[in-house]
Parts: sequence; C-alpha cells; structure tokens
Amino acid sequence: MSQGQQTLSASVPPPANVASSAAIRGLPEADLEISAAEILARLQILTALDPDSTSAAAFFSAFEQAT
Amino acid sequence: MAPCTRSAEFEGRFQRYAASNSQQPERFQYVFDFKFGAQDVAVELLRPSELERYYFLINRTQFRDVRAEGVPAPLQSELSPGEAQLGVRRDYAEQRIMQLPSVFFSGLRATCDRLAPETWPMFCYDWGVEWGRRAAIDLDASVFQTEGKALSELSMRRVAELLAAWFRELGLGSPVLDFSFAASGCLVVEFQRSALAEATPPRSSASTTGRREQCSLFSGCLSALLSHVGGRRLSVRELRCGTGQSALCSFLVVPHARKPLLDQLLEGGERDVRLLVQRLSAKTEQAR
Repeated sequence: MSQGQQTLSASVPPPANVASSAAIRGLPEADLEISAAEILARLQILTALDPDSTSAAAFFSAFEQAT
Repeated sequence: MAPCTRSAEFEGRFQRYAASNSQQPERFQYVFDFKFGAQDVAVELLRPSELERYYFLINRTQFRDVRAEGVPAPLQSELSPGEAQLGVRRDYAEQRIMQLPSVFFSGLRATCDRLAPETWPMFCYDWGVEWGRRAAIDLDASVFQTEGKALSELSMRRVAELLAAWFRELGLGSPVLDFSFAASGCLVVEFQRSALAEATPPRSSASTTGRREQCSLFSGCLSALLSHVGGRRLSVRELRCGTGQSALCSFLVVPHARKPLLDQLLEGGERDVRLLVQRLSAKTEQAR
C-alpha cells in the first residue's frame, strides 16, 4: 500500500454502515480497499490536470490516464 | 575545426580521446562563443566500435550574452558576406527566415485543389508534424533561456501562453487552449484568425465537397509541439474551420491511443465537441 493510500485511510474513515452494506452485498473487504485506491488515483489525476499548478509533463501524464 | 571549438578544452580533448582508443564515451561542458551570444553546451564524444568515425552529441543548456573573455566565432552573415543583397535574411539566432504573404498559402492551396485535392489534409498534417518537431526544439531552447526551465517543466497554462505567443509572432493566428474537457482526456484548441483558413480560396474543394480539414498543417504542428511538451504521442484533429475574415477554427487534442476512435467519429460526421467527448468516453468505457 502506498503512502497516499495510507493517508486516505487515515483521514477519511469509512462510514459506519460501509462494512455492513459490504456484508449484505457479500463483498469482501478487499473490494472496498480497491475502490478507495481507485478514488484516490482519480483524485490525483484531477489534481494533476490543474493547468495552473501542474507542470506540462505531469499534466499530460494525467491527461493520458484520464482516458 | 570551427573557430569556436579551436581550443585546448575542445579540440585538445578530442585529440587526446582519438589517441587513447577508448571505447567509453567522454562527456564535458563547454561554451561556444558567438557574436550573437555565448552558448553553454553539454558535449558527449563517442567512438562506435568497428567504425572509423567519431560522434559529437551536443545539447545547448543555456544561451547567454556575449562573453568578454571569449573569442567569438563569426556570424553566418560574415562567413557569407553580401548575402543580404542576395535575399538572405536571418533571425536573432542567425537562422535563415523568410517573409511570405498570404497569397503564398492561397496559391499552394489552389494548386493542390487543381492537381490532387484529396491529398491536402494528409500531406499538410505530416508536413505540420515535421515542422512542429523542429520548431519544438528551437522553442524549448528559447524558453530555457528566458524561463530557466524546459517547456515540460513549466505549468501547462504557461506553456499554452508561450505556444500562442509563438504562433502570433509568426503571424499565423492565435490558438487558445481550453482545458474544460481535460478530465475526459480531451483538450480543445480554439484558433482565432488562422492564416491558413483565411488564405483558403473561396471556391476550394473544401468548400464544395464539405471537407473541413483546411488547417491540417496546424493540426500536425500542434500535435508535434504538444507531444514534445508532454513527452508522449498526442493527436490533433480539426473539428471546424471558419474560412474568410475572422476565421475561428477548432481542434481536439487526444492521446494517440484515441486517434482511431476519434477519426471514426469524425468520419461519421460528428463535429460537436461535447458529443465527441461524450462518445469518446463512452466507447472507452465499453472497451474496458
């Protein structure tokens, strides 16, 4: 798990009902972790797509990932 | 040896390298002194095995004022005296430049319409790519001098401003990058007063057949410039071209992997930016 993922887990605790809804839907806990990682990756892409604060190289890297 | 390399630091180092029979590359920093300015360069000297030759790989790292201590090499114009009288013009870096009126492009377009109208978009796109690749290197060197960074290290907004300024300086019009659809992997370029669009003859085959790729030269050039900046292949397609006075043309920039899909949508006649972005995104999702 990367540093960024740990930060997300620490700063954004899952709602109290997430575990129970996962259990209701029969989803393993691992699916929730993947989902959080995907959200974080998406947030990082969106942050990198800010033309004012991101270098052109980082911008186009995120631009390609956005597809 | 050219005058700017006739020194112990350059020629002497080369002579020692040649005498050593070393197969390892030799790297060193050097300063070229010119009358239009000094240039700091990084030099790599190579000797390929089994070949009786040497390669110098030279990258400019800085372009600065004339050095007092240097012995400047002559200007190109001094090496070829009287060339101005022979119709040779040079820019600040001694590169040969030309000034061409708009009729140069309208004449080119009219000729293509008469001889091979279907080739115009393809020919111009590839021409633009070749032009853009070379221009990117010059632009990067120029920007490094003024901003102290490579284009790829500057903010995307700043790069957009510099590219627009470059086109404006050449008198070709003014491109504005629209980042609204960046999160969907698409960039829009609105090109105001395109010199190519305004030079298109009113009875061009583009007007009569409904084809709209009149500024493919700019599509190719933007593709090469942005690919250079981004360090990855990007494709640019012209969506809309307004001919005549006050021409406004639109382009869509996508990662190269999306080009076949974009071409397919354009072939189907879709030109609306929002719909194109939606359909590109939807098809990408389907492909997953």
